[in-house]
Amino acid sequence: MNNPIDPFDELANDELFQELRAFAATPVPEDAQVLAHLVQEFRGVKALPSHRWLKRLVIPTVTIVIAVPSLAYAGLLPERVSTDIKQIVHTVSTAVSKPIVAISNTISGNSNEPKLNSTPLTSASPDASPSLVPPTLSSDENSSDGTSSGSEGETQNNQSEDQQISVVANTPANSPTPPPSASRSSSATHTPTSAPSHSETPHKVSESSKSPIAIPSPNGSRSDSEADDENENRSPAPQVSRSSQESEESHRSPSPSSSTQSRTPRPISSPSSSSRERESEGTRTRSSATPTSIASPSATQHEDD
Amino acid sequence: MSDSGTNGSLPDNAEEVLSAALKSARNGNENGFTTLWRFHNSRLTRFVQSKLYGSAIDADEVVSETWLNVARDIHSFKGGPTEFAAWLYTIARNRIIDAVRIRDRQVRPTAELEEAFWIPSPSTVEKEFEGSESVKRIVEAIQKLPPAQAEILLLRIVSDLSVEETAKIVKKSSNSVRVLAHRGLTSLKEILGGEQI
Repeated sequence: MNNPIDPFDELANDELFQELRAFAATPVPEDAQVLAHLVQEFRGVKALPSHRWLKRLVIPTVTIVIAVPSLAYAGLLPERVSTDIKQIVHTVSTAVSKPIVAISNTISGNSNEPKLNSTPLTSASPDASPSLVPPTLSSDENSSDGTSSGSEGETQNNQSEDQQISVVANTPANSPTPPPSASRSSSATHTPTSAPSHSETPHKVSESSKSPIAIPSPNGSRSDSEADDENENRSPAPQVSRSSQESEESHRSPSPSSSTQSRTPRPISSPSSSSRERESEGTRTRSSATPTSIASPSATQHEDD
Repeated sequence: MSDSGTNGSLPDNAEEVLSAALKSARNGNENGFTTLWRFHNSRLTRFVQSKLYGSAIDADEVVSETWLNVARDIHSFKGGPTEFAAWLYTIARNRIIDAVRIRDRQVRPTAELEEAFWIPSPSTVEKEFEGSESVKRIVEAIQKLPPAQAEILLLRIVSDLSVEETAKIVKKSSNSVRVLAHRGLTSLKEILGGEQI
């Protein structure tokens, strides 16, 4: 629609607007990163909405904390979880336009925790891996699907707690004063009375790994059961008897108790989730599964002590 | 792009190039999408910057959001280059409206907070206008116009869109666009003449 009468050009071409036109014609510097990001979006890879905002933040390094079950720290990631994590890392790396140089195992600054967990697991892997790892992995995948639906949601929520609780288990072994995060999680999950009963409970545990389960199970008194967990983890006494067996059990938590894959996930998440564990405590013997993963790090430490 | 809608220094076969790029982008070809982005991004950015001048909104963020929308939805887009330009600027207008709404809902950070944390501020927009006081004055004068006139002037002058494209974006007839543009320019001249540029 060419309109020769249109006065717009005549007016707009006035000198007054020449600078504005020149400004408008000035090309904006091409941002290759933005373009690359857009192309990713074009390909269908989901991008973070505020990538420009993220990109502008000068972040020397990027730390991604992903709550995963303890066994994952040993490099025994289930394939599916591993894929998810890779996707997350890729997405974040793209969004911030920075390479993710390393994935830290550290959570909440407890740098010892992953080492404690991963080291024994890795070292034990030669022995246990054939029997333990495969069920653990498969069970881990099943844990979200196979276990009771009620605990399913909790499982995800408690994963972060898992790490905290494993820290709780580790911390006392190292030093009498647990870190704030550990104390918080323990206080939230356990009754304060659990602390004084440490000396006794652990002995029961040390006698047999299943005995403590029988105690809490009837009423499902969770504070007691949790206290048992703590005691098992904290008390050096049980370590002696358990060190040989349970340290292995801790890694293979599922294997001794045997069997069903539904149980296997527990060792992974069990140390953590206070609520979930307590629910299941009444129903099944978690002694073999739950404490083991927690106890493993502490057990090794106690042995060292 | 007829009626002075040249969109900068376009080659003669720009229409064909854009049509081909649009077609290939719709079919999932990244090169097509990249061509469209390279062609429109500067003008779109200038338009958003002019529109958001002094608004404390990050213009680049709005532009990015606009292109993200395009990247997601271009597969289902139907139309030619003219329609695409209209679609692109319509998205940008909507993103600007969203950004203004979000800004109005937010509590303005104090100066101390802005210093303590790096907050994208109008400086990111105004930075673009640094060094050209006359451009700044023109943009500020445009913002004093009635919104419809101001927007049409920006689309016509800054984005260099045709009357037809502008009409589609602002959802008015071509004649209305012409009239509003003419009135806007006349008023603008009066304002700028009064300021004695």
